[in-house]
Parts: sequence; structure tokens; C-alpha cells
Amino acid sequence: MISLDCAGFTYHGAVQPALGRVRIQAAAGSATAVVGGAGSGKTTAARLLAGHLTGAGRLVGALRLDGAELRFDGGADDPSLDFARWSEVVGFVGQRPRAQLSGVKDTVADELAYALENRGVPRERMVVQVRHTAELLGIAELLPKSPLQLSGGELQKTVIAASVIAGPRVLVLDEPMSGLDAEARKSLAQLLDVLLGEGLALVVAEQGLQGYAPRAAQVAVLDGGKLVLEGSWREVAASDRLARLPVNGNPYAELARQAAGLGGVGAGGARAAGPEAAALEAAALPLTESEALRFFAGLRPAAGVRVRPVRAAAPGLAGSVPAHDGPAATLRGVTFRYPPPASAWTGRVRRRSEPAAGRPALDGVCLDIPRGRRTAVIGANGAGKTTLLRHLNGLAVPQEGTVDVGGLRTAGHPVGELARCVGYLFQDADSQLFQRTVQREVEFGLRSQGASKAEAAERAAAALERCGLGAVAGEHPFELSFSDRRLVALASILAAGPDVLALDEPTVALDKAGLSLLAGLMREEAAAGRAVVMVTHDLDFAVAQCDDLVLLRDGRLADRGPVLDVVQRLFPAGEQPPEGLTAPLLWKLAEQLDLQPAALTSEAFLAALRSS
Amino acid sequence: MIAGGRADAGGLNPLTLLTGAVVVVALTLLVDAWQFSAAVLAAVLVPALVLSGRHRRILAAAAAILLPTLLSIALINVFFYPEGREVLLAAGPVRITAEGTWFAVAMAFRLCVFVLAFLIFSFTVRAEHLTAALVARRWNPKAVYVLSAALRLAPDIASRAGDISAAQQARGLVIRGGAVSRGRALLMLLVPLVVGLLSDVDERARALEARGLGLPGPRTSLTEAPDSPAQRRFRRSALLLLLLFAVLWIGWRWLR
Amino acid sequence: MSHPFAATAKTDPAGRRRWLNWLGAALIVGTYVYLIATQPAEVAGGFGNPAGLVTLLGFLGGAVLLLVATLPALPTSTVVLLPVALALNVVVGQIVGTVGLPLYLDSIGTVLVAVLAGPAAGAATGALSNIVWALFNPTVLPFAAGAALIGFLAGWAARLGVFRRFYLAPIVGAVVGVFSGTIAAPIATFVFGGTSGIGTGAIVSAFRAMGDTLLAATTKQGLLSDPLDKAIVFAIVVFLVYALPPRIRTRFDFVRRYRVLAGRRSEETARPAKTGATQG
Repeated sequence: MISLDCAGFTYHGAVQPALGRVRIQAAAGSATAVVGGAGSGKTTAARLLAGHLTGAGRLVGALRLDGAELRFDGGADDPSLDFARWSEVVGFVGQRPRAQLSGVKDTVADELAYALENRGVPRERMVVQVRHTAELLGIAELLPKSPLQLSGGELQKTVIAASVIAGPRVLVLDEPMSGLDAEARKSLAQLLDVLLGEGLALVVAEQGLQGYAPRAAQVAVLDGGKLVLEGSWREVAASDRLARLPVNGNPYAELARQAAGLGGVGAGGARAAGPEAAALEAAALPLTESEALRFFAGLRPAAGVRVRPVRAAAPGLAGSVPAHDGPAATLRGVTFRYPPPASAWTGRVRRRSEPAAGRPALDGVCLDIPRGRRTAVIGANGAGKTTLLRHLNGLAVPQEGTVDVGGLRTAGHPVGELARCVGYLFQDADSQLFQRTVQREVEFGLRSQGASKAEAAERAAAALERCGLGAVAGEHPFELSFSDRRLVALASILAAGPDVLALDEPTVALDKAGLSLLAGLMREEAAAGRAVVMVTHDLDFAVAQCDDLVLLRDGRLADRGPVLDVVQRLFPAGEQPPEGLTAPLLWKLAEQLDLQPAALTSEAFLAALRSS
Repeated sequence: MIAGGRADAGGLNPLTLLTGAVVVVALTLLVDAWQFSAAVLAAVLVPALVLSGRHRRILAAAAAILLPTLLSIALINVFFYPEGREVLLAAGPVRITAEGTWFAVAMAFRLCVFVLAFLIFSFTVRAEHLTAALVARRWNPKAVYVLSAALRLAPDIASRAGDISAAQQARGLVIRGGAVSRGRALLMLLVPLVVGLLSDVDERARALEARGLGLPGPRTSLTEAPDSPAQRRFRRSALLLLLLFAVLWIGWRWLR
Repeated sequence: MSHPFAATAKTDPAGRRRWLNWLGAALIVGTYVYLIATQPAEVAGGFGNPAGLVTLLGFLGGAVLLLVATLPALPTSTVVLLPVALALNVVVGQIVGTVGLPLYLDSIGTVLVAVLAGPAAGAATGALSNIVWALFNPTVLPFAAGAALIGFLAGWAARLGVFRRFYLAPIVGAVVGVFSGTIAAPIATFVFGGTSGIGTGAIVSAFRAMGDTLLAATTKQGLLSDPLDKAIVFAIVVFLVYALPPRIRTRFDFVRRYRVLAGRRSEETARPAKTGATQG
């Protein structure tokens, strides 16, 4: 159906090729996943397939569609691609779904109809077709809604529906699942399955193997612009080579590798010989939950009488941290309501996750944020997580109750002043970057706090080094990958050394290297006696990397405490998880294997397994 | 549309409303007499204001525009009107003349008609109906796109600007009172705002082209603007009558 | 060599509509000349003359003709830029109003588009900007022609290389302000009785007190405040375009073809292939 046969692609003005030798193809009714970390070239490959880039650089290779071939030699007499005709057959959905909305429609129904309107389809047929597509893709109930008020998952589905309605036979998607919670991912995957059933060919670019890749017929892994691995999802997920790439792999396989002492990135040498390694070689690596259960059950030392160890009282890293006096931040009876949206011209747009008018976003929340610990704020969409975080640096000021941070009452101090004690990482890091080079970006906060030029430069360089960005200090922040842009924002906060780190969804769109860097930084900051607070949907990351959990439900504080305690109360054995939350993977495994790990980290899990 | 699109113009086509506003404004400019402007204000615009059901918002918007402008008109023409012969009061450079005062009154009434007529139009019309009406009139699709997108983009940009400003303050930016500090803050707000907007542009251009914005040929519209044969007749005859009146009026003045 | 997906060379659609461009420009200039030539009798003559309507029709009609001529010929990538610039004009205009700076700065978007996409796109942005803004402030409607002129002149200035030098931009901005101030004066005079706000009103009053005609007074006021405003706008825009990441700057055909911006070529060839990384 469609294929890209690339021998090299270099953007205009660049020296090094963005893509080397890469071959990607997709057949009608089947999906191909293109997987790679930040900077691997997967987006470039996806855009080449979508016909976006033939004018943006020098391509040597061929694009084939429906038996027709466009061959490029990188010379002046290369054909130029007719995008209007190409896009009739090949649809594309990019990384920022907001940017793909037409921007001229007030309802989802009109948004879907836009492609038909531009082709002059009569109104009666348009009504039928919009309804048909919406029902097919399961978004019929969204039709009367405004595209601006959809959740991330709904928006993604709307954008996909709007681009397939005119009947392309290929759809190229760039990280469609990034930033979505587990439920939204599942329902998006179902939608993509429907498209496959309709005979479309799908090409899905992703950062990891756990998005749509398990359902893809073919998985191609890119690294440094080259195709490094190719095969079925099972072959790729179980490949030894994958473990050494900056790709978010299969968590079960990674755990199994760790159990066998084979390690992943960085743990190359230490191969443990013994019964476990033998077990790994005998059985294939587990890739699903049921396989993992079988696999780890087989790893138990003996199937005889099990002695249940008494669970130690939440040790974790926090145990080694010296006690600090008093909490870093205190919330007392905090209640906050968003003002009703004013007129469209002057007023702000209602945030997507804001609760409907009437119910307060936060309702009488009392909370201490302890120093030296990492706290994760969790909850369903619209539970008030981000609103809570915004209270910590005065971006939101409580209408009732008080918030004290570092001895200052937020109500009486401007945000710029509170910034000295609170570093805030926004979910959209891009709005936080405004300098011409990465170095100046990080210096900005220091300079505005009165640091001398030399001192600011020195501290900025140190912070960049910690975030692994030393090599790009002279770049324009917007020339970096999204993952790196978030790390720049993080470095700019760390440089100032605030008492409290408030991180809003810091894991979204980070690749494997970025995630482990983030985890390490959080650990170091907490060990240095700072309070780290993060809002997240990623419960697996939260339970592994945080000490405490705070659960919000409908703006109220529903639960809090050490990670394991909260998880235990939240996901009791044999019951459905509460709405909007998915039990952490390690917890599910531990529960079904009847293990009681001391913490929800892979190390603790494996220790519990060994001693069971 | 300004008020967020729940307005309902009672089954009126946006072009009917626009024709009404244009006729009213053109007539007042043509006749150019304060008595006529005042009569139009009282007999046409005040009833329309009440019928629109959103008189409070329209009046608030009108006041914000009109008050400074009316004050300024008075300042210029009442106190300084060198052509004036009939001096009512003179003190230093200030000469209050009858001619100047009447000129100011005429200008003030005319301006009120101008501002109110168009504000009533824009506060009662729904953006999607205006778009649909323009599509039905076979306007160039690109022009329709630019108009409709700009209308919906302004609140989006305002909220982005708010987010960026919040993020910068969270990074330690304290805006002080001075003009220099505020100017710097504005520049610092503009850079990420413009970069963010421009990086979306490429993505959006591709998405729109893929969905057929650049295709030739006529367009259709899923949403339809309300319309009726009577309204179509009204629009045509109102514009014809306006043209006729203008020719006669200018011709008569020419001859006189 | 026919191929289902290979583009064939396109004819230039701008040629067919060029005469409309000239007609629009002629209408605007003609209106201005007519008003200057007949003005003394008109204002002092009191009531019942159509100068207000002529001003409105001439300037607005001219701007609309320019739009009809330029808009359909613009490529989609530029068309998508226009609403962004329009909204930027409006929003920055509003913010400046609330921040309390004694300036308008409501043509930043127009000049930005002119620099990135050329004179035609700049003119279209200016004209449309005022038409859209008029929906919530009708008094800006008649100034559409002046706004189009600003965009057009800024585009030519960019094409001639003014934005290659940081210090040239505000100087040329001031010159553009002379033109825009001049063309705005008859509108303020004949449609709005000499004013477009409190601040400008005070200046007009001062000139009137010295015995100037209303048109002369508003013209002089325009020549005082517009060049300053446009010089600042041009300075802001030159700052903005150089703050853009090279990836965005070089995306625009007009910028590349006429080398609108300075000294970045060598830097770009030395830059490693970051563009690919950008998108992940």
C-alpha cells in the first residue's frame, strides 16, 4: 500500500542527515509501529510518509503509494510531490492535536464536516456521513461539544475522525497516545482497531513499545536515524538489543531481565549465573500480565511452605534522609473555585480539566508537604490535582483557607517573589521558555534573584550538566526535542535551588533516558532535604519513585500516606479499581503472586519474590 | 459572537443584520444632521437594542468605546473652533463658539449611531452563522477561513498569554510599576507567545490543506444560517433604495 | 512524464487579479486627494454633506478591493499565518491598553507577517485586522486602508533588506508612520470629528488653538504620534524575528528568497542536524 525506502534524508541547512537507511511499509488493513526515543528520526520518517517533507530537505530514496513510485536522487530534477493529491490518500495526525483543529468550527460535528464542506459535498449527504463516521469511531456523543473543551483523548479521537472522514486509505499518526491516561489509551487503541477493520493502513510513530505497538503487525525500531530492529512486536519486545536502546520497552520483560540479573541500560556486565538465568533462557521473556504471572511464579525459590516475612514499615529512601524541622508547605482548609468564563474576547478559555461551574475545584483541603520526601498527587481527570499544585507557588490563591510556603503566606506575596522558594515545572514546558539560548534560559531565574553574572553562569552550567544538557547550552531551546525542552525547564528551576519542587505531569513525553534522569534528580533533591511534589497520571512511575501519595477526588483530599499504604487501600485485592485510576503494574503482579514487597520498586518486588 | 455564541438573532440571517447596520450608518453619514442621527438613535437603535436581549453587554462595550471619544470630540470642537464666529465664552486660548458646539453635537450623535449599529450586529450574530452565510454567498474560502479563524483565535491567544505570564512569574519575574519594566515584561511575553503560535502554523497549514482548504470549486456548509425569501427581498431592496437615495441626495445638493 | 502524485508547474494566479490591486490603491489615493482638495468648505460648511460617507466608502472599499486581489493568491501556509497575526494585533493592543503604556502597538502582527511573508500578505493582514477588530470596536473600521498600507510598506522594507540591520528597522518604521499618520488624518476628521482618543484629542486641540484647520490639526497630530508608534513596533518586530528559532525563521519562502534577515546563513550550515531531533 505505502512504503518509504529511504537511503538518507537531510533537512535544509543541516549537515547531518536526520534519517539514514530506513525502510518502512504498511499494507492495507494492517498497522506498522515506528518506535524510537527522542531524536531517533521517527517523526521525520512519519512526516516523509505523510508527504510533508519533500520540500524541506534532501531525500535520496523512494516513496511508493498504490503501486506508483516517486523516486528522489537528491538532485535538482527530483519530482515534487503534489501534497493535495497525496493527502487525499494519506492522512496524518501529528503530535499536537490542538494544532490540527481547523480553528474555525464550534462543534465536533462541524469539525468533522470541514473536509467534506471543502469538497462541496451536499448538506444531506454530509449529515449522514458525519453521523456514520462518529458512530463507527465511537464519538457520537461528542458531536455537539466544542472542540476546545474536549479531554486529551477525546481531542485526539476527534482529530483522527476529522482526517479520515474524507476517505484516505493510509493514516500516519505521530505519538497519538502521548499524554493520555490509561483509559484514554485503551479507548484510542480500540478506535485504531476499527480503522484497521475498515481496511486502512496505519503507521504509528511511538516512543515506547507499550502504546499501539502490541497490536501492530510490524514494529520498526529507529535509533539515531537508522533502522536498528525490525520484526513482530514479540520479537522486538523480547530482543536483547532493545534493552540497550533509549526506548521505553516492555515492563514485564524488563522486570524479568532484572530478575535474571541481565539488566537493561547501564547494567551490562553483571550477569548472574544460577537457576534464575537458566529459567530465563528456558522460558521466553514474559510480555503480558498473564505470562509474567507464570514466569515469576516459576521463579519462586521453592514451591513448598512459604514463610511470609513481616512487612517492614515503609522504609524507602526517605528513611536515610535526616529529619527536617516542619513541613515545607502547609495548606489549611483550602477552597478554590474557578471564576465563570467571561466574554470570549476578553475572558480566559475554560481549562479542559476544570470542573463544571458550581463545584469548587478544591474543597477544604488540609495538607502538609514534608521536606526530604517525594509526594505524588494522583486522582482522576478534574479531581483538582493541578489546581492544588498551583496553590503552592501562588498562581492560585485560596478563596478560603491559607497556604504557607517557606514561611510566606501565598495570599500576600506575588508569584515572582514566591518563586524563590518554589520551583514550578509546567505541564506545557514550552510556555516556560523564552530566552534565546538554553544557557540564558537557565540563568534567567538566577539573575532575577540577584545573582551576579559569573555566579549565574556557573550555577546554570552546573544545573545543565545535572540534566544532561551540557552539550546543548548554546542552542535555541525550541530547536531541542520536546523531551529535552522539558529538561531545560527543569534545569532552570533546579539552578535556583528552591525549597519546594512542584512538577506538573513531568513524565509526559519523556523518553527512557529522560525518565531515568528525572527519577534520579527527584531522588537527589529529596535527599538534599527539599520537598518534591509531582502531579501525575503515571501511577507506575509515582509508586516507584515517590515516598508518599496524595489522592484527590472531586476536589477533596481522599487519602494520603506512604505509597504502599495508599495503594493497599486504593486497590484492594479482587476489586475493581476506582474510576479513572489503574492499579500499578507491580502491585497487580505482587497481589496475584501473593507477595508483600516492602516498596513498589522492581528491586523490592524481586527481593520479596526471592524470600517468598 | 463576541459574547461567546449563544446569542440567537431570532431567525435573522447575519447578512440581514449587517445590511440593517450598513443602511443605518450610511444614511446617517449621508444626511449628516444631528436631528436625523438622534431620530435614528431613538426610533431604530434603542428598540433594536432592547430586542437583542443583550443590551447590558452592548451598552457596556459601547460606553467603553464612546466615552473617551465623545470627551475628546467635545474637548477639540467645543473649546477650540477657530472657524466659529458666534463666540459664547472666551478665556485665554479657549473660545467656546456656537458653531463648534453644534459641530460637536452632530459628530457625537453620528458616532453613537455608528458604534451602536455595528455593536448590535456583532453582539447578536453567531460566528458559525456568519461563516455559513459567507460560504453561501460564495466568498473566497481563504477569506472565510481567515475571518472565522481570527474570531476564534483571539480568546485562545489571550489565554496562552495568561499561561506564559504565569509561567514567567513562576520563574521569578516580578513586574514593577515602571514603564521600562512593563515594556520589558511585554517583550518577554511576546517572544514565547509568537514562537508558540508560529510553530503551530506549519502543522495547521498541513492539516488544513489535507482537509481541502486549497481545493478549487464551490463549498457547502453543515451548519446553515437561518434565512428566508422575505429576508432576501429585504436585503436586496434596502441596498437598492439606499443607492437610489444616495444618488438623489447628492444630486440634489449638487444642483442647489 | 505524468504521475499521479507528482506536482506539475503551476501558473501564477496573482497576475489575473493585479488590476484589482491597482484599482484598490487608486481608490484610496483618489479618496485622499478628493478630501484634501475639497476639505475647507466641507467641514466649515456644516451639515448635509457626504464627506463622512465618501471617506468611509473610499478607504474601506479600497481596502476590500486590495483584499479581493491579494487573498486568494496567497498559499495556504501564509493564509494560516493571517488569523494568528490578526489576533496578535488585537490581543497585544488590548494588553498594551491595560498595561498603561501611552502607545497603541496594534500593528505588531501586521508587520511580523509582512516581514515573514511579504508585502501582499502584510497588506491583507492589516486590512483584515481592522475589519475583524471592528466587530468589537467599530471605530477602527475606517482605518483599514491605513493598516493595509503599513503592512504593504513593511513588506517592501523587508524585501529591500531593512530588517538585516537592527538599527534600520525603527528608522524605516518612523517613515512608514509618516505615511500611515497622513492617511489616517482625514478619517479622524471627517468620520470622527477630529479624534480617535483622549490623548490624541489633546494634541489636536493644541493645534486647533493655534488656528489650524481640523484636517491640518489631525494630520499634524498623526505625524507626531504615528512615527513614534511605528518605530517602536518595527523595533519590537525586528527583536521578535531574531528571537525566533532558525527552524521557524527559515521556513518562510519570502525570508529565504529575498534574504530578509541577516547573517544567519553561515550559522545554519554549521548547525548540526537538530531539526530532526526537534520532532522526536
